[in-house]
Amino acid sequence: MSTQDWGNTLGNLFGAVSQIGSVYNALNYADETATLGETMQTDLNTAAQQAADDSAFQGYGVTSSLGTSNVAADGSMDLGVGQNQYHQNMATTYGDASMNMMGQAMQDPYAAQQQLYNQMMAVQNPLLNQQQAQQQAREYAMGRGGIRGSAYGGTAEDAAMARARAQASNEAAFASRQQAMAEQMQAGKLAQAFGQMGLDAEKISYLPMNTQAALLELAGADADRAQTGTLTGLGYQTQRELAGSEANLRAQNIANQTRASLYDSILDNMGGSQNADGGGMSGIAGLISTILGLGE
Amino acid sequence: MPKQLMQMSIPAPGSQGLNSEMSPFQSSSEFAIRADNAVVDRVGRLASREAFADFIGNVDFSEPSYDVVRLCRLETESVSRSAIRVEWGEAVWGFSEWSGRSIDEEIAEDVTFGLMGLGYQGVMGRVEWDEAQWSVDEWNGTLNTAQRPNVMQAPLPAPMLVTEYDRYIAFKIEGDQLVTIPGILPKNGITNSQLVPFKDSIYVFSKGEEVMVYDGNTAEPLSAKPNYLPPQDDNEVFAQKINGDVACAAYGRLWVSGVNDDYQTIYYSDLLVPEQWYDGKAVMTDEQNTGGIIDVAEYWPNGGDKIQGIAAHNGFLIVFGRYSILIYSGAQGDPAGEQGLKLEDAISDVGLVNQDAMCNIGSDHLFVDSLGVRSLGRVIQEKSTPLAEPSMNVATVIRELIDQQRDAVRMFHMPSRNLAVCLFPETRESYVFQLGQPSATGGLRATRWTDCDFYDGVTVRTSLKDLALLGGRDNRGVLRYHGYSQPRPYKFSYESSVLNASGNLMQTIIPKSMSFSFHSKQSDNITAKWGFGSDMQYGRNVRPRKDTTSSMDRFYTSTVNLNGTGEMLRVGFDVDVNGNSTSMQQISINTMTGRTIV
Repeated sequence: MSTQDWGNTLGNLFGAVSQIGSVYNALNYADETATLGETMQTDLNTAAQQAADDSAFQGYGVTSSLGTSNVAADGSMDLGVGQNQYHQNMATTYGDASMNMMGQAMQDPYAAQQQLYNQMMAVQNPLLNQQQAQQQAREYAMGRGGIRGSAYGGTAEDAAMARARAQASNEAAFASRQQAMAEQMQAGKLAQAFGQMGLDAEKISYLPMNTQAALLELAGADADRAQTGTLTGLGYQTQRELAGSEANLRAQNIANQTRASLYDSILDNMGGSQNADGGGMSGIAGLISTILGLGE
Repeated sequence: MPKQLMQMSIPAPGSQGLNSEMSPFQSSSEFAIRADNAVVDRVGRLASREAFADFIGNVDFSEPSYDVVRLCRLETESVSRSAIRVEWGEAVWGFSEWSGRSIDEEIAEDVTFGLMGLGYQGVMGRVEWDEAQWSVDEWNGTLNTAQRPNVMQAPLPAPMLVTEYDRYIAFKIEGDQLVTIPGILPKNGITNSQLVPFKDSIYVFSKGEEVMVYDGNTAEPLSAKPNYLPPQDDNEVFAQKINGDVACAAYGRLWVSGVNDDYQTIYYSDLLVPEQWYDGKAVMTDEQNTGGIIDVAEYWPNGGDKIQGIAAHNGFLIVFGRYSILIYSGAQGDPAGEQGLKLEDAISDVGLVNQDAMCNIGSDHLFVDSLGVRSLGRVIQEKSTPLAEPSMNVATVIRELIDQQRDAVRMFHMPSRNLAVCLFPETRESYVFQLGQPSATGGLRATRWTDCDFYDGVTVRTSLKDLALLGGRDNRGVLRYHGYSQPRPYKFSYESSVLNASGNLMQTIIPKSMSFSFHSKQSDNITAKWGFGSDMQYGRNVRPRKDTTSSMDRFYTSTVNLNGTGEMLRVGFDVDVNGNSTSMQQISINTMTGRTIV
């Protein structure tokens, strides 16, 4: 075997060794890189988890003279302030009154009319009875007490008295109807007014809660801002961690590449290269070959 | 020793009628102790009453043995069928002048000859009513110029309802017959029924029986009328049928009490609609109905009473109780209206003995109370009490009769004779009151009638003259107060009170003769009577004049010798009335006075 051959062989050997070394290193570095990647992924996952944990909603609360309200981390809210009891009671009272009035308004008008009619007639009856007694006394004095005519049922005076009674009754009936309707309408209006007042009281009873809610809403903005800060910090932190990891990765990668290039160069230098015609090896192999003169 | 002959005169003896209330020793010759079958004539003399003459005795059924006839006038002004006799052949109109034709037209009263009619070719004939020899029941209703040339057809008022109660038979007069009306047969007694003329019909009210209506042709119950409406209201019908017996027609309505035996209530019909009564329903059957009810129970001044009669007078409605009288004004319009009935007066302790014991005489209303015949009169308007007492001159005797015949006594008016008759059927006597100028005492001039063969009386006014008809008894049918002939002759009697010739009652009187101046066609039917104290033990026929009878009434003076001696001389006479009237103008007595009793 010629030197050349030896050279070549050496060269080839070195080449092969270099290649093997390069491959080995490259694989080693790849593994390292992969390991790094995995590590980074793990770290990033951890960081992400940490970020997620850190960026999770922590809840917030507000305290006022009305009470303390909290929004829990799970989003549940404890307003911590209830309806105003006084106004709630008022609302109940008004509501009851409204219902009562509505009940009155919705009663059968005939019953109310009858009641009013009875009251009116009770007022009028003594006078009518008195008038009738006087009329009957006059009638008796005139000797007409025992007279009944077809047209009147009794005497004309009896009929007149009956007409007066009927008229009073009619007027009472009409007035009672009007009065009943007016009272019914009044009851309706009162029911409406009481209802409105009840509603207003009900609304007012919620005012502390509204106020507290508003405060909570205001606190929510503050919480938002706090959350935004947290998230921003976390973002920055994450970004920095990611950037660090990327920089590490790139550095590791670069280092690996550098080492690989170094190894490659070393190996290249060990194995040299042959020209196209197979001569002229370079590198360690060339150097060795050269040293060994195998390359000539 | 006897003294000089003295003459006493009794001018118009008994011209003031009976007087049982004055002392028999009171010398008041105008009053009579007895005035039987007498009336006071148009010039104030005591005269014989007219006869209860036969008028219609024929009946159309097989057993005409009815006892009592009541009369009710159905139509008052009509002149139609039936018959009177027309007699020709009086001195002025010889029989030959009679044409045989009827004279049913242009009958008028002639001052001299009485009723005159126009006959054939304008010949006048005289129309006579019920001469003695030509009683109506002899006439067979057929014009028979051969046998009865002087009987012919001429007008007579009809129809009239005649009702006999004892045997429950109702009649009407048709021609010269009483014809039964089967449709109206009241079943109750004489004192429990009333016949009420109203609106051209007669309403028969009988206790416990429905009102029956007879219009001259048809007889039917009131409830059979198509528009009949019983008193009712929404709760009940007070009386399905009007069955009262105390009734009156006045002011366009029927007024009835005793419905369902209730004598505290008066039902009155609608105005001019006697079929419709009180309608108290809320929805009236007839809205124009003004019928009604009057309950008088609370208005009796003595606390309680029973309606005995209902009457109308002078615009008032008079409700008679047994012991009280209620006088209502305002019955003319709607009684229940504002201007309707009003109790004007309630008179206590005066009442009506029974529903038939009253009559209206136009200017007054007479009724029989337990104390006598009373008069409402104008005192109603003047509000002056006590009520007048027409029977005050005979109070004692009439009270006793009323007490004995409380349920039977009845009154009726004879306007054509200006008499009011108070009849006592059980004793067949009447006290008759001369309407018009009262006697010196203030009571009406009264006489007494005996042999009253009738139960009822009614006057029928016709275009010819008034007929005073009487509801006969003892199968006599319908009688007529007319003429001076009746089947049983009757006596016109007079007795004076004590004649005080000397001014000293306790002095013996020796009557010597007595002369009677009287107005009559007859002078042989007078019996002079005289006596002392209450005993009229002497009697002697008055000597008749030569011309015993005359064709015309004339004055006679006949004398009779007297005998006997005593104190307290009373004189009188009996006149047998047998066809002629007698009016006593004057009685003159020649006496001597005897010793004075010491």
